[in-house]
Amino acid sequence: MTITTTTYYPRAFMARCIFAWLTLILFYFFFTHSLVHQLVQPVLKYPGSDNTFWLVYATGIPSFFMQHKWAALLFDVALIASCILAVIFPQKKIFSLIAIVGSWLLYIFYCSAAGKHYAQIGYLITPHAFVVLNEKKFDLLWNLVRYWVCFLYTFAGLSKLFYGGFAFEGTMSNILLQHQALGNVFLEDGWRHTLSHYLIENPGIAQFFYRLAAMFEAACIVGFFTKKFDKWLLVGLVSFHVGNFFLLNISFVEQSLIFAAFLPWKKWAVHFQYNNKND
Amino acid sequence: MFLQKIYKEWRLLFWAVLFFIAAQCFFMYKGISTIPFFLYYMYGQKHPKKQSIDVILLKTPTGYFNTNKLSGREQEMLLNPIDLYISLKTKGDGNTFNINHRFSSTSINNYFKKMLCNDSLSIEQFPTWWATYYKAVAKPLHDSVTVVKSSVSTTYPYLKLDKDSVIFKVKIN
Repeated sequence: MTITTTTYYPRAFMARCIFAWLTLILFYFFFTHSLVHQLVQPVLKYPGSDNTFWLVYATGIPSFFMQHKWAALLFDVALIASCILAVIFPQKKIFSLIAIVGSWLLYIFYCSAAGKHYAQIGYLITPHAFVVLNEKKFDLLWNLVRYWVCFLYTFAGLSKLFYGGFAFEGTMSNILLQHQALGNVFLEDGWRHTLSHYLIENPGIAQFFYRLAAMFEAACIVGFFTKKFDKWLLVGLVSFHVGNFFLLNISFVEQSLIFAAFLPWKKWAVHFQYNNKND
Repeated sequence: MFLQKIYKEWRLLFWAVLFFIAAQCFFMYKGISTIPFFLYYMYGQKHPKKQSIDVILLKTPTGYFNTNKLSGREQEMLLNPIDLYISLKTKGDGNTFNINHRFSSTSINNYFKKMLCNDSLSIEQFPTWWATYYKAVAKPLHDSVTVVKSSVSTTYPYLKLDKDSVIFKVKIN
């Protein structure tokens, strides 16, 4: 029988893709020495003023995993294994749950050891929808994930207007100056360095890109009202992060999972003749 | 409308979403990021031009180690905690004040300080931990490194200013 339409999101197919994606992100963490056991038992902690960090620290969980080499290694193995098992057995909710909880803990451990709470959170948000098996409920949760992403970017765009970065002419060139400071010490060259210097020297052009990015972020509000522009939101988000990567050297590997919220999963399910009965 | 839909189809989720919206608004109003209620306002503020920009440099016997050759995550883990270390050494742990502000009960207060704050021993051990992580990511051939704070001019040709102030020096091998 040929599938020509699908009412619900193809949960199992998506689970396989999303958890495979998350596994790749974890491998990226491995190759960049940032899994828990690779942090070599950090001695300082930075819960900041974040209430959730406080509560998690109050349980003693971070200290246990961060201070015991074998516990840290077991944590990393369990996290990666749960992602791989979620790919193999997408209908077993337990693996998704372990992967989600593990990812949040990993985020807390990493930020605490690095002394800064980072905004690269795509790998935390997207897997949430997979805590249910019911198709209807999964549909609702996947839509919520999409709204969450739209909210975060809209908030980021509006913040640039509200906190003055948008109006102030020198914002982008001064941000670039800050990011280029180390490159200037090492007298780096290459087209990225040349482009950054050009933008630093031409604050008007740099600020044009900043404003363009802010307007795009604020425009993500459209995602609350229609899915018609998801293709363009996806193109915009990818361009935004590629731009950040080349100009500010901000990697978006961790953040890349937010792109999944705007992918045409239903169309792909039809294309690959995949329905939930395939699970 | 989506909220109406979830109200009809999954009442529990509806209340959970309402709670999430209320909590997000509360933390936005308070200006305290509390995960998962992220405050996504990075780079939103005005960035006035400074005279110079502070940088952390790693001085080795063969010159400054180019930390830009590391991945972003390695660079974050290597350089960012140094600012925290400097702050802890000079100002103490800011969370001590926050805990005093948030909890009046002595037993809760002491418990949170024990679990959340960095003690003098941890601060003392930091350079040793840092050296271990540096060795893992940089795979250095040299046997010592001095972590220094310096600054870079913000006017063309953006040169490093002369003065380096030593934060700590560690043996690697």
